[in-house]
Amino acid sequence: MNKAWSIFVRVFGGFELAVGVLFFMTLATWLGTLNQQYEGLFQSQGRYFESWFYVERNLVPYLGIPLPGGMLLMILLMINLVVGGLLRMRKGASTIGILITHCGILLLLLAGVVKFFGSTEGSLLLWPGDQGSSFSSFYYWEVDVLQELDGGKQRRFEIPHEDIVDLHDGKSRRFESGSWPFALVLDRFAQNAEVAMAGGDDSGIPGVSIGSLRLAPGERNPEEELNQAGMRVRVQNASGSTIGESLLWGAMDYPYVFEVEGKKFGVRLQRKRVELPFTVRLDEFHHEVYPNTTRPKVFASDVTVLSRGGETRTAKIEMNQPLRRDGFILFQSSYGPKGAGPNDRKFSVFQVVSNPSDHWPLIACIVIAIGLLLHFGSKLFRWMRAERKRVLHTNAVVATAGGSTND
Amino acid sequence: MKLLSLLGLLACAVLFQAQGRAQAPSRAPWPAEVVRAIEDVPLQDEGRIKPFLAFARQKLLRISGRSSVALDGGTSVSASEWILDVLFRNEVTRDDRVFLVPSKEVLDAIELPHEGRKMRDRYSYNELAPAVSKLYELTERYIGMSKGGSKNLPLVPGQIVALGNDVWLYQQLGVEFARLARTFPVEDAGLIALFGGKTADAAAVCKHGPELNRRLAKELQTIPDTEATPLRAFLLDVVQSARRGAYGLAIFPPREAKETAWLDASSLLDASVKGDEHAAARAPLLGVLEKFLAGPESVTAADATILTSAIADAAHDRDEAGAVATELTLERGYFLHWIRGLFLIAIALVGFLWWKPQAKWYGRIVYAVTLVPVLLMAAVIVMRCMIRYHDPSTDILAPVTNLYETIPFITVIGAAILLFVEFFSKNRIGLTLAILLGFAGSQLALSYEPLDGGDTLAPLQAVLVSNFWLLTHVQTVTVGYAASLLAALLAHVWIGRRLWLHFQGSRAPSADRFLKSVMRMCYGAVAFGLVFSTVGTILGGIWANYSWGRFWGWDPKENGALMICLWQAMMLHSRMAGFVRHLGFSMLAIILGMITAFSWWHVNQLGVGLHSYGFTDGVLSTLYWFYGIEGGVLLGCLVGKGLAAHSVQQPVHDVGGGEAVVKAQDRVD
Repeated sequence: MNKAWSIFVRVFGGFELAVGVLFFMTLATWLGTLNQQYEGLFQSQGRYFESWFYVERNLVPYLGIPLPGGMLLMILLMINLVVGGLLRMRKGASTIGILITHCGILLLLLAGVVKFFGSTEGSLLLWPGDQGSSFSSFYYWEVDVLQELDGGKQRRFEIPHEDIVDLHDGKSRRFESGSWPFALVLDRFAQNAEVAMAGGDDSGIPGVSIGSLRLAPGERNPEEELNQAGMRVRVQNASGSTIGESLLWGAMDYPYVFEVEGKKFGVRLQRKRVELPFTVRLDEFHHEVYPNTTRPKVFASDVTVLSRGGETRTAKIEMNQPLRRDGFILFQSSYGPKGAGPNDRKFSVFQVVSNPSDHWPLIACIVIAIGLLLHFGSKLFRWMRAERKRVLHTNAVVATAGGSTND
Repeated sequence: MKLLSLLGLLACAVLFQAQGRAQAPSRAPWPAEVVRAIEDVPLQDEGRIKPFLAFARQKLLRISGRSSVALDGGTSVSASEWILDVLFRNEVTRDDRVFLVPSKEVLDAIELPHEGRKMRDRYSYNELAPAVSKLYELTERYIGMSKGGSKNLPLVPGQIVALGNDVWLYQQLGVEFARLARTFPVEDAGLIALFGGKTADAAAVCKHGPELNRRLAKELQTIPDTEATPLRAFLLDVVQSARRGAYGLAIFPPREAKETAWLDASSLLDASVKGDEHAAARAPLLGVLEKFLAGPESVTAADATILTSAIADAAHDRDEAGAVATELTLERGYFLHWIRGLFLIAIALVGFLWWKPQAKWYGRIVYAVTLVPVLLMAAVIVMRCMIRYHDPSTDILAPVTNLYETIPFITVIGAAILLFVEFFSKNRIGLTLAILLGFAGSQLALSYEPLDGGDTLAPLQAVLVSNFWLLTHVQTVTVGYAASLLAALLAHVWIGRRLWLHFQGSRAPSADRFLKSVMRMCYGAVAFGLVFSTVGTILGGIWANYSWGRFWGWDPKENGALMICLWQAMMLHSRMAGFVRHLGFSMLAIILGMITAFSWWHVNQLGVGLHSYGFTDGVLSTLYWFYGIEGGVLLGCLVGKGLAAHSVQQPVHDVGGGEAVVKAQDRVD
């Protein structure tokens, strides 16, 4: 056991691993940065920074080089930091700065892990006077099944992103519920799709036509929030016969409506909605440009936050000044519509984020700064003292020899 | 919409061409006192208040890449004189070769013959004129095609758009005041009595604008607005003439304190006929501008002073003139040229110091001489901070807010670190490198100005307006850049010295005190850089987190900074573990320099991310040269190491001692 532990410490706590991981992290960052020119940020992020391994094809033409991805490197770095940089490292006055620095880096990495697994982010668009209590995810989609109840009420069923995102290349999935007198079969999912009029000979062209409409998968936009997903839905009865079908498209505001056994249902594909524990009302949006230019100087939103308990509070959200409330942070993200003039009515777009490790990076930064300053500051003072001594000594020697020196 | 804007451009071009058909007057120079007085005029351009001198230099630099224009006969005119010519007698400038066309591909694209011309050459407006409509067509097309603005265009389309914008600017400036030259026919008896004749010039219309407005209001009480009257026809003529599109040189401060946009001559005329008494009171200034239109012979220094004083006083009353005097000092001081010259002198002086190292007093003189340009460059940074801080539209105090400002900042920080090191070690290395770095930095700053081609003090985008984050994140990470580049520079010095010792046949180079000193400095620079790069990079993440809710977005600029931190950490760990010794550490420091160049300049040229500034001419090719040369140095080191190890290992085999091999490798490192 001791031997195994010792090998583990030597391998995972060694300088070899530290240097290797730092080298490959630099390499992955460089390659991932260059790749953004070709594939955009989102794809590059997935391939280089959030992967276990990636095959690099841009470096040498016609040759794929397998390399460790960001996820693997981050994990190895964390292990190396803990084993080599904290447990194995000699503890003393001369290493206290390094130990503190390693603790700070560890906290920073942990903040990243917590954010990766525990954060939610999306956007909320409001026109002046409008209010909202939920926001749309940037990256995730969901299929909503709505059942019309008596009294104008609705019952909502949700098919999550994970259950629909893999439904392409001939793969389909059947969804049932005890409350439904039917089953839904979903397939032909495309992360980015266009809906156009069907017609002519569509055979051989990717996509699916239903009635007069055709859903054609398009090239995935590197800016993920600009993609509009699409898929096909088929409604089947208990015997498995299709009783209705439609195309679902993210850009459609209205659901596909059908009736089974006298009950009315609707199905729609939409960006995943996340409920806020409060409601935000946009009172006024300010947009200022520098005089005689179109360069934005200020864009800010005056909002009223209405809590579930009935409490109201006004706030101003602007660049560098977000609103933090009940675990959510609302940032002034952008505005529109595109091309609107200074005096036109505009909507405001907020980026909404929930991040349990929101302030950890700041704490980590302070810890790292203290550690590095302690370590290298003490080295600097030692060097200054030694150089002073050396120069004085040299001068004394030269003076004894009867000369003068500048060295 | 696009069609309309294209039509607008073509209409302007037609107007401009018609104006150019007038007989070109002789090119008498503007009186020096007039030019001097006009250079002091504050105006509003690119969102901030600046003196005419700065405006003129920036526009000429943008169009021509130079700060003066060479004329036939070996003479030249300053930027101010040339812009005065463009504004008030445009015809004389049409054969001036000012439009810098950076490549022949641009000329091919706009279908302009270029036989016998240089690859990168300057053309006059008259030479470009046959291709202007094609140029505008392509400019419109590329702007329409570019997602996220013209900054993301590839090189040649970006150059076409830049040239299109330059020609547009020239044309707009050319018609800016031309409308003031015309007179408005007066037919109504009441108006003839008002103006004292059958015509009225712009200044007279402006002066009587409120009265005309009152008469119109009175007339509307009795005559329906559907009926035409001589007064209405006259006012329509004035308003249409005033509103015809031009550059909009905003030189008249508005009346209301809450109004931030200054008025151009057309807006002043427009405001006056709408009843604005304040605008009408500015009518004498239009009269002065009319004198300028009549040519240099018609203008006296007193006229120019009237114009300058009136506008400066109005700006002062609005508390908007605070930065103008400082900017005039900065522009007239030619500080960067002086700094470069002083560093050149210091290079000569320090050369002598290497020849006579014993001269202690002389070393102190060189140190003091070197301090002068470093302090001057620091003064330039402070002056730029003051200009920005006193600008009412920004009040930002941070010394680094854009790519240009990183150059003097990095130069000053790098030189200061080296002078600090020299202060303690007194071995001339820090001093010499500070001088070389200072010279290179001042040269780079001077070279970048025309490449940037704009106002390097332009107001910041909304998201950047934060003194706290600019002062913490940007400054810190820039200091990290400076230290990393310093480490690379020291690595070159180490390799150079090592090579020199090799050719000198030195038997114990590792004992050389110079090499040891340089290596200590190199290590210190990397350590210093790691502190600032790491803290600066994390601060950037925290700023992003507090601004947009994401700590890390894998933006190319963020990645560049991260690469510097990772590489520095790897270097220090490699050295600590003994994986590399001096040569290896130097080679890693050279790669650090390449990574820093990538992060500082290259990521802005990728056309992606938040820090994309477009494809600046010459930057990418310079970077590739830099990478190539540094790659060559690294390759040379590897080959040299291999050869040295081989040549020293031969006798070792004869002796048969493993220990001797280790010693031989020690010699190489």
